[in-house]
Amino acid sequence: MHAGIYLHVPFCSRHCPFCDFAITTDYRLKEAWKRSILEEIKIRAEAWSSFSYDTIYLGGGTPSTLPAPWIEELIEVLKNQFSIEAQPEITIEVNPADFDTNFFPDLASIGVNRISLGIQSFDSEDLELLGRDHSLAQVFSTYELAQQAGINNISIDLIHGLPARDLFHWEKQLERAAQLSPTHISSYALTYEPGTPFTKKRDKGELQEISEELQSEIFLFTHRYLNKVGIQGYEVSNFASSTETRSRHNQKYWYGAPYLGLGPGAHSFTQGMRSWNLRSTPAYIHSLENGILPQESNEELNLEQQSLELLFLSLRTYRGLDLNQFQIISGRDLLVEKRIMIDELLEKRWAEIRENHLLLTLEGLAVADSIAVNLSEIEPN
Amino acid sequence: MQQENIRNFSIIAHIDHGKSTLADRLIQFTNTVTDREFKDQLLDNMDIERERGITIKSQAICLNYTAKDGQTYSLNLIDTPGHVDFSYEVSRSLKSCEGVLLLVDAAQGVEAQTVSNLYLALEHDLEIIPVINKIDMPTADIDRAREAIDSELGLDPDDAVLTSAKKGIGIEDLLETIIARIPPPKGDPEAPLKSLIFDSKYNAFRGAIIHTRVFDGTIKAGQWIKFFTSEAEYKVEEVGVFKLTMEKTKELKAGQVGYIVAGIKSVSETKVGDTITLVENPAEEPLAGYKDVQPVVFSSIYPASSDNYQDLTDALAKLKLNDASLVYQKDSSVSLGFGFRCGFLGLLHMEIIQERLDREFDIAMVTTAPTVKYKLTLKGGEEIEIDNPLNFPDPSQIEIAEEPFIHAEIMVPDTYLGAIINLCLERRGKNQKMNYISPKRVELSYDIPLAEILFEFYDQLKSRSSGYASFSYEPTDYEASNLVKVDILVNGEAVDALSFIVHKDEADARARSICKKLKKTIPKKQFKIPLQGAIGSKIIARETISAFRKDVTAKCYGGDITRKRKLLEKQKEGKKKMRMVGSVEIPQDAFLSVLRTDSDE
Ligand SMILES: Nc1nc2c(ncn2[C@@H]2O[C@H](COP(=O)(O)OP(=O)(O)OP(=O)(O)O)[C@@H](O)[C@H]2O)c(=O)[nH]1
Ligand code: SF4
Ligand SMILES: [Mg+2]
Repeated sequence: MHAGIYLHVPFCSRHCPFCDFAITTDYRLKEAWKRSILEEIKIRAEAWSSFSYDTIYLGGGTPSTLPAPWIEELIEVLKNQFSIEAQPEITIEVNPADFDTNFFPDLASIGVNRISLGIQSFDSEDLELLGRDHSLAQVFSTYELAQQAGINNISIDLIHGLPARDLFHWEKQLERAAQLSPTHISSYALTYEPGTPFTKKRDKGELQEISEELQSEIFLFTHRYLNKVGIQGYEVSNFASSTETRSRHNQKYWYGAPYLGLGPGAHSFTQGMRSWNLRSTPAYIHSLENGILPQESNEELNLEQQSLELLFLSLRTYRGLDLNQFQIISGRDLLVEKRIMIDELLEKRWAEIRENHLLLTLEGLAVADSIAVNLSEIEPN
Repeated sequence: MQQENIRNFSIIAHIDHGKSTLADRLIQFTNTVTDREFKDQLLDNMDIERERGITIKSQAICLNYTAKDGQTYSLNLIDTPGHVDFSYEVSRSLKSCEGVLLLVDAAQGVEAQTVSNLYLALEHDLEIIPVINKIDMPTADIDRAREAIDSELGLDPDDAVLTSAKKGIGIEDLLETIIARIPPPKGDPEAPLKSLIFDSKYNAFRGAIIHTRVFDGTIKAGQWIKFFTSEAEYKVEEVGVFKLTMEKTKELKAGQVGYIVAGIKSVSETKVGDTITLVENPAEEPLAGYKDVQPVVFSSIYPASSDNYQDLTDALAKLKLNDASLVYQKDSSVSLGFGFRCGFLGLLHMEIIQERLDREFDIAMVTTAPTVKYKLTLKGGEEIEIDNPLNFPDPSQIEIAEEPFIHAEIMVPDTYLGAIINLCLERRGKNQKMNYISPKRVELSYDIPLAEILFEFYDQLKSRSSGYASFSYEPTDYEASNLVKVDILVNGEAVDALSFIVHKDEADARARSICKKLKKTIPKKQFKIPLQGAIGSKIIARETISAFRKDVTAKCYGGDITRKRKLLEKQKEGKKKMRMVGSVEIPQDAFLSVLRTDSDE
């Protein structure tokens, strides 16, 4: 499989109260960040020169807060430094805002062909609760501008499971999303990350987390609904109108392909080795200004870890776990070793076995994590 | 030091009558410690003792006193605990003494442990000096105390010394009385060595340190000693006496109390009550040892993780060195694996042991609900004793079941009287007696099954009386009772470590409460988990843990797979700490939570 490049743009206009990504609201750092990331590319280029890449992903943060010429420059540099396949998937995350009419055409001209649009919700009260600063009008105008620029592969980001919202409310959001006929939807459950204002409020009882039953209903409903309207699920949180419009880049994470991560907090993975950069933007900059690789740490995955990752990542996908591949990596024949458990899963219709893949049904997908943990436990025989 | 100038004595009394405080005054009067070293209840040197303000361990200290006759005496004082759970400490200390100071609180008068401790002293044939303490208290009633010493203790009240340990009154008088009345030890320093082990303590560097009273002979560093029971031989590294710390001396002679260090690493070879002699020229007969302890409360202790079984084994052996009243034997449970069945002298004792294991040895453990020892007469006429629910026979085989009772004495301000009477009745109390000791204070007494006070009785007592009620008890007799064993089934399988024996009338309520607690602590699974309480095959309580519906996290973003994997690894690790019962994992907390039966209902 080809490799991918991820480039992290840590700038956001404000810090959403549920978010724990590596971000900063200090726009004064932009110049230094750009110098640093160009430096990082230079330093890493050689070690990563043996791969050929077919995806570039500008994520954040909010990459769309950068001026178009900067984005052009960055992509240009990447194309020069690394061997990029013909027709790469080049994605940029965009938050709805008032864009200059040239912004999207400029991006399109240097090859950006996919946009991931952070809409989150079509309900303005939801947007307020989530601390987003965009309006619904901006959602539609941004969508239109991108399309007009010829970028037709547009993914919509949604968040479900907000406090005190019911299934009916969520159904309306999905309906409106489907009306836009996007080529892709990512629908993430709101998670309460440690230390975020949301989590603190929940712990103090000011926010009511929805019940596990409702979470589960929403999860199943989302998959059934979108599958029915032709935006097929292919992973726990991802849906696409065709196999071509699945996120080529995200799939690399699930299938163990190599990826190079650039920018604050970005992760890289190759040959069983994962490394990650400093999360704080000033620290990242400082490190590169001193000519040091901004790496925070790395780890070499042992066999057990590799098998666990293969398990929980592939079980997240509709394609499921390749049992042969698993046996090659872990030396374990799950069909024999875990026969009792797998039989139980099959019987409950939580899983199926197809073409030597173990794949989870929607009900199984909802509890994929514990299924993975249970499968990873080696049976004492 | 001449034998005639040695005095060995213990201070004994009911709890809180001022033993440790009196010891403080004797220590200070004889300038045994500097002012800088001194602190209140100096001999209570364990953290638990200081935190709780009670003595748990007997503690010896050697004082030098120059009496009015101009001679210097060596006084070996042993401060003992007053709480009934630690009476084994007292009886062991008495073995190394020729006399006792029997304290009576001038305000409280003679109480239960005053009498029991008197009997212990009489049993050992010791000289008894009655001391009326706390005479400074406004409520002190010296005449009444004298009267009680006469009528309840059968001692001559005119012999009583009056003191205030707090104010330091009567201390010199007491010291002179000790010199005059308590006989010096007998024993021949030239005879073959006979020295009694009355206590010991494990030290990581020096091995087991033996606390001993030499009855005959002399012992010095360099000699080879032998234990009568284990026949183990060791070379003595050091001997000495107890000052504030251990103080090395040239030798220990007949009549002296002191310590021996001999590089004893094998803990099991030192047995409290054993006699030490010399390898060369050994004594023929050991000294009479101690009576075996009779535990009244039982509970099993399992290591939190089965990997730590060996650590727990070592810790118990070392703790046993320092607490001879702890008895234990190997135990195994289907749900918790290998552990130990422990017997304790009471609830406080159990609590202290568990706390010491945790503090001194840092052992994480699972303890099962405490039980008492039941006496059963089977249909065939055979009589058996059961202290572990695992061994409770099928009800159809039981002819008569008996359970131990205690006599409980409760002091309570009259405002809370009603609440406390209700509590005692709920706990099957009978033979109520009530006695107004002052217009506002009542002394209540009941006979209550011991099993009834094992669960939160004390907490309830405190909460229903806003903390004002005080409570003490003594074991009495066995009485017939309608007992059943209740099993707790998780997902259809009985978890043996959760079984308990209970009076039939309370079985339902207790089983329901335990199922409720388990429901809160057992993690959800992909399937429903029924929780049931059952007597034999009859289900008496039922709860259900619903299946979880969703646990997959939404996002693996930016390639940060590591974080997510670590979460799952943690989950996996956590499962190792749980005990598998069939296909359900039961966390350690679940076993603990059922111990707290009534608290949050
Ligand atoms: N007023 C007054 N209080 C005293 C006197 N002697 C002891 N006390 C107080 O009584 C309480 C108990 O004293 P301790 O010396 O700990 O009693 P104890 O007998 O050693 O208690 P245990 O070791 O737990 O059995 C403390 O608060 C002392 O300060 C006294 O002579 N007068
Ligand atoms: S815009 Fe996105 S990255 Fe930025 S703070 Fe909000 S959620 Fe986080
Ligand atoms: Mg004391």
